[in-house]
Amino acid sequence: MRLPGLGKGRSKRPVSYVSMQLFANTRGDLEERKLIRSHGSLKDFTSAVAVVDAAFELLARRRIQSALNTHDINQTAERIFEYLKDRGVAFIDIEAIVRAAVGEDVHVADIGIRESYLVKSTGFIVFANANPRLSDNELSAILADSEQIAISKGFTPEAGPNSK
Amino acid sequence: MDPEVRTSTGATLMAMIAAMNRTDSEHAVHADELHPWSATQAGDHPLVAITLYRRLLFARLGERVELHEVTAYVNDLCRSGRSQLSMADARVAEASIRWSLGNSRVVDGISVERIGDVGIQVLFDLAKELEITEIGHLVRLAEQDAFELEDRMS
Repeated sequence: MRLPGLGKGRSKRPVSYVSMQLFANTRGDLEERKLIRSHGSLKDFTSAVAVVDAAFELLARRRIQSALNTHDINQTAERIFEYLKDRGVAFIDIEAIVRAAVGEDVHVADIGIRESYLVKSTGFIVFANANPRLSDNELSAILADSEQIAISKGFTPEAGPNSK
Repeated sequence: MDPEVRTSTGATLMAMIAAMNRTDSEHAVHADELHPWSATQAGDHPLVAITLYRRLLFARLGERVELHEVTAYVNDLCRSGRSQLSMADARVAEASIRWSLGNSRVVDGISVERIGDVGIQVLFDLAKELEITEIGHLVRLAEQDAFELEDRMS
């Protein structure tokens, strides 16, 4: 399977390694995951973090909208916690990351970068597959926008397979 | 011991609050010197530490406190320099408050000792704003709450 947006006439297509990984993980596409893995492992973690930060925030704001929506925040944190319960991430850290993404003044600076990356990439999948599920094209557009946000902040997301 | 305080846990808490509230540097006591959480848990009614925490929270924040109000209180406390807590403790402090108000999920993944140590520091900070007579009154109410809870659990 190829990412939507790679064909003719599509203006928004994600091209980075991390976007492709997120797309394949969100859709549970094993073939695509294999193809990405065959390309080698992720080398530039910092740029990947920038893309995931942007992608998670875009979807969090789209799905939850207000920091006062405690029901949706809690439900999202519960879902992410269920996925990560064997990874030793505290529930309060997950919830804080979700709340910070929708603009609340929650202190998250002391949460480790790898823990944060894990929560945000899992959260992205939870948001994307929540009802109403995002179409492949919507998902693709959000990932492409996230790459642009990362680039605007001075990062250079690492190119993935099929990116040329 | 306050003659009207009936439990050793209540008396321990009263003594620790009094020691923490001393302003002269010679007698000021730091929480880490007291090991306060384990001290309260070694008393005859450890639940009093939790029911007093709830009483103090209700007195400070009201009984129908919203999530963002708890966060704002904790952020202010940890940023102010008035507390021994720093921003690195903020989320655990918030978790301990929300746990004491009935949300058990928020402490998942945090050790009991960490919750206890940070929680009791929040308790001291809440108590700082009250007169010792008010604290005595709240300790007695907390003891009643604990007895009722113990009856219900037995």
